[in-house]
Amino acid sequence: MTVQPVLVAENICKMFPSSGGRGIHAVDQVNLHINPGETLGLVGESGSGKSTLGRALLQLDRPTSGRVLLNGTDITAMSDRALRPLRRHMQMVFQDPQSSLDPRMTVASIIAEPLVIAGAVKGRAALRRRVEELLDLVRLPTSAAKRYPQEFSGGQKQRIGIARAIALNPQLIVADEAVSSLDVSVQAQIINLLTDLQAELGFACLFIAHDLAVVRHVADRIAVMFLGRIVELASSEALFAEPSHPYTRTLLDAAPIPDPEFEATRQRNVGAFVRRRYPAELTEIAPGHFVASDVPEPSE
Amino acid sequence: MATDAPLLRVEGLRTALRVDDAEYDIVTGVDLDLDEGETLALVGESGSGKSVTALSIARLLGRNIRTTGGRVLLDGQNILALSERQMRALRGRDIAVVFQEPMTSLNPVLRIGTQLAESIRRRPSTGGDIRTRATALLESVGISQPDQRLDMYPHQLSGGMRQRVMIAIALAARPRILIADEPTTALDVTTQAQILDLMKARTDELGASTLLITHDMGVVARYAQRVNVMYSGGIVERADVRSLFARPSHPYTRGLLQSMPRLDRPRAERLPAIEGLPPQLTARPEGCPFRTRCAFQVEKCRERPPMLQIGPGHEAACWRTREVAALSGSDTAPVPVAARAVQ
Repeated sequence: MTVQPVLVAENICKMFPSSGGRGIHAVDQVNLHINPGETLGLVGESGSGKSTLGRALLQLDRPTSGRVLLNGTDITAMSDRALRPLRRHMQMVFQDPQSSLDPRMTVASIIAEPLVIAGAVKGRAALRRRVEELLDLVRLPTSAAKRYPQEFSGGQKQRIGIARAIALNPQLIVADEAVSSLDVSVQAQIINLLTDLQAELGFACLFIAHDLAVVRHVADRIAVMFLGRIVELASSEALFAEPSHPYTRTLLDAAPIPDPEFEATRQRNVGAFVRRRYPAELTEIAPGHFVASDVPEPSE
Repeated sequence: MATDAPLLRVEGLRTALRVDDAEYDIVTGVDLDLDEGETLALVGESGSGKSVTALSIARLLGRNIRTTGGRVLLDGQNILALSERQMRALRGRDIAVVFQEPMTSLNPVLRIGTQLAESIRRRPSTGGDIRTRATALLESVGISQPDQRLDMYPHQLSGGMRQRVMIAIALAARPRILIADEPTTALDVTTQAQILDLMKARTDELGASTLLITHDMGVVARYAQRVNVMYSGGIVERADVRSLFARPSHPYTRGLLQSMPRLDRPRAERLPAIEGLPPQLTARPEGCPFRTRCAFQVEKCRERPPMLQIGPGHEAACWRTREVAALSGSDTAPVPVAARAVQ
């Protein structure tokens, strides 16, 4: 018996116009699925297309081609209007809580906004209770409700962003570099909060980040993106035990390990990796472990 | 050699931020020695005062921030007492700085070659015309087609390439000290690795010392010989790099090392996070600045702890440092892991 994935992406492309006229493939022929309750990590360098892919999956920016299925329903073909009631199932947590929280709104109205728009909670008293419940879930005092985002630290703002994202009990959260701008000690608090909430509420998560150690900590499976394409996809264990694409190996090689004894004798060759487009087709080299061939495409 | 005076000595450095009519110490009395040829890491989180310490040394503080006390000794001379003109001569020639964001220090309207030439002229020529030397410098920081790049403007280069140019400019006058303030934080991990490796190779060739400001303990482990850990404006622990990682002796350092997810350890179920937040500039607790977040806190911590020696060259500003240090050993023993299997 197989579970139906929360989300399936088939052959997703996202092109942006360029001065040359041909357009730039920011995301190119991406296939993936996310199962209920699991965390799929998405790693890659800046410009690799990982954030663009996240936004295309949620239909925040419509993909140029390809299909996205939410619980088996094709949402790429839907009008914005038809899509609206389904948006509650997919929420996003952004990297920069500073710019993603409206400074003129109180914390209560920020968190209540999705509830009001979806008509999920009726009546002021019920709304207030739900907001307090959500603040409690993200470990903020109820007194936070009446205050404004700028009164909070970066980590606390991210808690507010998370409260807003979980308000409608979504099935999927896309966390786009959600802990990247936080200091290590605060980052650990937010990672713990996200994993606790996921265990409690059961949402699936697409966790986009560039920090390999963080992704390994949170993800069940990991997709590695390079120049708009997935070059390797495997369980977290398999990816680190047997990294098989040259780009994945380069990423692992480049990550400094906080152990001076190890670093003192470490041999690595980060510069040898060839930056070019790798084939979009993935080969299954072991059950659940997919790798793009490391030979260049014939056309290039 | 070991008994010689350090190349650079910072004593009791205090730097304050002016807000309206009040001044708040960002750096609360920092002592720091940088030896000949070494890389010293200054690590801490945002707001710890690590960058302001570096900028105070180079005397590159912004408006509303000024150094209110202490000395910075280079060759026994207090450079805080130099005139701005003398300081300008010293900067670039003896002390060079590389910042996190190269675009803020590169001049957008001048060609790369012009900016390199300016730096080369600071150190009277060792032969060769300036363009030849500029080309060689670009080549030495791994830039391909260096001759063509000399005629380009900063915006025509990628972020990683701009940072390479910054390093070339910084090292052009063969400085004795390089201050690198989060030089690769904005870059991807593969670019970071290449640039830091290169920076190390070039400073080693010159025999220059590096003060490396970073928040990344992995970077510290790879590139530094000694480490000073900053928290809330002061140094809380200093040690040689191996000793610091093997036996973190301040609860903050210990907490920092434990709270990072690590590629070289089995995946932990839960990260032992440090609870709470660093104190604000305007509301530091009296005594130990870490005590409000500290699991080891006792009554005594209301008094500011002095640096206490825990081993050769290893000291921590904590009343209970011996107990904290004794906790290491069993729980920090390295385990063979995935990241090692990659090699």
